[in-house]
Amino acid sequence: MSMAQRLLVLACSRSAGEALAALEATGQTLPPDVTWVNLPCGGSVDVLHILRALEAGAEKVWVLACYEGACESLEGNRWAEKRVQWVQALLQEIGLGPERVVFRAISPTMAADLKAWLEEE
Amino acid sequence: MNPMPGRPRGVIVLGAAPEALCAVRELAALGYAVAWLPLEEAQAPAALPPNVAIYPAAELVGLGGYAGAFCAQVRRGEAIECLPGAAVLIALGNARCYPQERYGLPLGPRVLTPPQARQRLKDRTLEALLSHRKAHFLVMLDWGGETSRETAVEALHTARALRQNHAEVTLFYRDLKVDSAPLERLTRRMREEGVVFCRYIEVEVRFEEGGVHIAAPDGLVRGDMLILPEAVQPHPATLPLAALLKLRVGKDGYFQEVNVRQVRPGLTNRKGIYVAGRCHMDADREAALEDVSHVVASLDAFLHSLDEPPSGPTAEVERDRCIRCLTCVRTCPHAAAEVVEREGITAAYVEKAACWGCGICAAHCPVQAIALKGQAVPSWLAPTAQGVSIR
Amino acid sequence: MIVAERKPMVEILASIQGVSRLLVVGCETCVAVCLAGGAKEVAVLSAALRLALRERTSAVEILERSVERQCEEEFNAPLAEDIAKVEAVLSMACGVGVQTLAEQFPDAIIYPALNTQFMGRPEAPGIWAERCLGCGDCVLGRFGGICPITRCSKSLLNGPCGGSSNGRCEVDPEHLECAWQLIYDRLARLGQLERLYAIEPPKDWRSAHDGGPRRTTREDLRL
Repeated sequence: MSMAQRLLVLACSRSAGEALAALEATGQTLPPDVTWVNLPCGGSVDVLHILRALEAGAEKVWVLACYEGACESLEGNRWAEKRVQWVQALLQEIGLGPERVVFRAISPTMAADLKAWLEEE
Repeated sequence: MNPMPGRPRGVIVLGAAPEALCAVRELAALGYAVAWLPLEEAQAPAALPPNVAIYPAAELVGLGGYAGAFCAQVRRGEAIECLPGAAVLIALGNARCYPQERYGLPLGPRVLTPPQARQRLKDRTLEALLSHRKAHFLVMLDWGGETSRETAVEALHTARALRQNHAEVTLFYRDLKVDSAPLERLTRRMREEGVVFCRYIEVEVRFEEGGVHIAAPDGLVRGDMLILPEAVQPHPATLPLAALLKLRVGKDGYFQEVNVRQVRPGLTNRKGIYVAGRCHMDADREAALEDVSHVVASLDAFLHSLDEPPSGPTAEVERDRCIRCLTCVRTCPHAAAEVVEREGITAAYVEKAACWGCGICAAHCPVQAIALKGQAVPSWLAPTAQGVSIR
Repeated sequence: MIVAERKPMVEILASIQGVSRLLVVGCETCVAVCLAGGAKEVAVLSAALRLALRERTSAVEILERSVERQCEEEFNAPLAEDIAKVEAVLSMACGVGVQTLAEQFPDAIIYPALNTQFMGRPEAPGIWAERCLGCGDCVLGRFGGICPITRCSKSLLNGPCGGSSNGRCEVDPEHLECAWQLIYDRLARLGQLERLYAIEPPKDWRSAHDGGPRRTTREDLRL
């Protein structure tokens, strides 16, 4: 295992990935304790990605995908959200905080929001 | 201009709307061999370019293949024929109806649709009304709900034609979007010619003393005839065709365009299949034809991209691990997965040319037999099982 | 197919309390198709167990395996080595698979991770519904292909009852169709409504489980 401990971001490259690229284009970098993984679409977020991240010691996992109606694969973003909900329910069952996994909708132009979220976290 | 060196690619055009003819002509001009299936009784256009083959009485029974190599299965008499095409363009147009429930008013001697009014102008059955005194026509848009763009524009043209026949015309509207140069020109000329535009929020329509009375914000307007625009609805072939071609239909019943980044006009959920014109949008005829040009350009760009090496991840099935549960087939939004026999194995197969690499199937597969090739996640994050399966 | 769903994690965790070497075995037939017990679910359950047990002082080792059909000893045979290494086995098969492991490996402690529910089919993506009770004496030919025993809440053979309203069953109007409405509609469509004049005699339940555990024999496959 090699990853930052605080936060793992599973990101749809079409929205969140673009937002991060925009942020980085202004010379900003991710905090060192944040690991970012770009996926082709929110639809490829696997419940096992999330569980593996938690197993690897991530305190929190974010799943960032497109807004409703903005997914190029029509419903990849909705699958991503459903899978987050599924893992949250599983975590609840085993006594871990469901708030450790978060779904957020994002668009490519939301670099500023992304920055704010990262600072809040 | 030849779209590609060597063998010219073919495009299958479906539909009989004016948009279809426009698409056929534009595609032919780009050098594509066009197979045109109107799918309904339609008047064949007088002259078509030589690289267009029209199949007037053909019934489409299926679409095989995938982007770059589709095959329209067509019933002609007893035989099923396969028409090849690298892409498909659908231009069904829409359908019309008189929305009696919306207006709460049947058509009758004092209530006409714009096409009826135009017809009566043409066959001179309005002559008596127009000559004996200043006849007054009340054209009512957006009554009981927004009038579609197409029929609103048609009503505007009708209002103008009536005015040009020396009638008084008052046009009531609530939400008329004049957002194109031709429409702005049209409404300006209509005002200059004396059509009265009257915006309303609420109106009351009464029939009395042999006329139509409209209680509008500016007072009571009395007229001789009420012109109520028709409504548009999805073409009746939309749903059956969508089912046959595994295309998505929106909540409004029209084909769903998947163009969220605004760079691929007309693209549907399936690679290589495009929709153009009023079968996916509310548009007047000019705007619909303009859409056709955008969609043809988008389709042309797609066909050119086929000459380049494919990029981006695609799903790949470990076919001897597949349990044929159909989960991938049912959840793939792009109809790229199917359970088929290939090389002696009946199992799921994802056609690379049809796959968008979204990974929805891979994340769903209950036996982890699907992986996104060309997509690397860190190994500690890989969703593969920690152990091995024994099969 | 046989439809199952995962047991609540609390129950699974209670069953393996104190176990530090565990084997999780999936089955890639029915329960994989209904997304309850294939290799994927084995991986998900194992990951969840590792997370749940990480606070334990002693390390927990979980082996993940999955077999073609857990109700067949031949497919399970390669598990012997792993089973010898662990203190307990969590089976993600239906009850038949669990019992096969228990019979085949008499010294192993086998726990079920699934609740086996019914024989059914996917009605819509993500929804499975019961279609057959396995009564041992199929009546579908008399009822237009719709099983009144399985699909009527009361298993009425001479239905419908007064709880049928607008085609729905009063037991759960939101989810349950009235089987007798379905039977009527189907027979009407087939032009066989006269079948409904026949009074069905009480069913002989000896062919079902009520007659005791069942077995079936094909003599031509026995020597």
